[in-house]
Amino acid sequence: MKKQWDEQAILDNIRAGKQSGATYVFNQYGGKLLQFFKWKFKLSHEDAEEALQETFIRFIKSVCQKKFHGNASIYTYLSKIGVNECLRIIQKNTAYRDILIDGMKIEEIIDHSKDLEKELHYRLCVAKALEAFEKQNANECLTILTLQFEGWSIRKVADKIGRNEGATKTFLSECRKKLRLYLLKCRDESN
Amino acid sequence: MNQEDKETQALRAELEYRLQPIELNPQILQNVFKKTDLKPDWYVDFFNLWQKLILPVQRFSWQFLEWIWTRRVGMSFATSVLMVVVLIKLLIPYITYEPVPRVKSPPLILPELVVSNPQETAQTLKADLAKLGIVATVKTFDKGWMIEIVNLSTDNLDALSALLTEYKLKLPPPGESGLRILVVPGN
Repeated sequence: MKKQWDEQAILDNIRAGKQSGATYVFNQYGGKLLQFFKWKFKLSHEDAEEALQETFIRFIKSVCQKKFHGNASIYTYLSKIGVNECLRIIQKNTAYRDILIDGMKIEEIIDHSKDLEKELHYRLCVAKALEAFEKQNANECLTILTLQFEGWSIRKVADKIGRNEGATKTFLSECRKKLRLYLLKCRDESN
Repeated sequence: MNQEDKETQALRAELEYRLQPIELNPQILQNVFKKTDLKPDWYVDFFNLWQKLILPVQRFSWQFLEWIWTRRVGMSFATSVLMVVVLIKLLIPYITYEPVPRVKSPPLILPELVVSNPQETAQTLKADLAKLGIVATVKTFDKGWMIEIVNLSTDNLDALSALLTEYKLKLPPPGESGLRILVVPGN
């Protein structure tokens, strides 16, 4: 039977010296972190993997040494460590010296690391919110939202899901309303 | 970037990711476990169970030693243990099994030497062997004489081979240390 993980169960599992909790966190957030590291910090695949590895090592050590108590969510902590690891790699590697992040040079971006942390945190929070949304709502909702983000016209989406345009518009609006409820938490956390 | 844009961007990134998720290199997680010393769940559970089982035994051992100490029987207990050790040491030579070296007996089918004067031939062969440092005994056997050589080893194997050939005899096969020759009367 597949184990249902909540954040406390994950922390307890890691503190007991076991691997499955950390594996779950890695599978849930690893890919998203790697994608963010490559996209935002323009890291090479190897450097992004190194940043990911160091992020998880620091995260697990903090959990085991009880530096991380679980008063913030796991992805908040991962965002903080992840951004710091990326900045460390950029600073030590001369190849990244001239890279601009959000139009800023590395010397300037260090002072704005909090913004990067917030951005990554928001990205991970949305991922978690979408997961919860998917569990509670019909998969069709997520499908048409995806199609709309991909730039499909209402007509094309309507044809795809076998509804007329008016019904599709209403359905899309309902889906967005429902989704907004799930994203409220992320808004609150980022403010 | 306002909140709406941030939300849209994060949503787009997540939906795109869901369409094409990144396959993570499993080596990363292995390296993480190596550096953080996390073990598989079954290993930790097994280790904990083992600790639980071994703990009462350890506690009992300590309690026993403590009991010896508090009852002031430590010295006599230590002396008894020492005596048992000394006794075992002394008795070991008597109870250790020493295998008796197995002497391989010469083959049952004896090489036969048919001569007109067996006694003389047997004595001559014995003397010739003695020149090569090989001790042989000659005794009567049935109607003839038997030359028995327990140890056929010599420094000069070629000379021994030549001597035996002279008497129309052969060296025993490898692994045989002795030789019996039957000298019988005949034409």
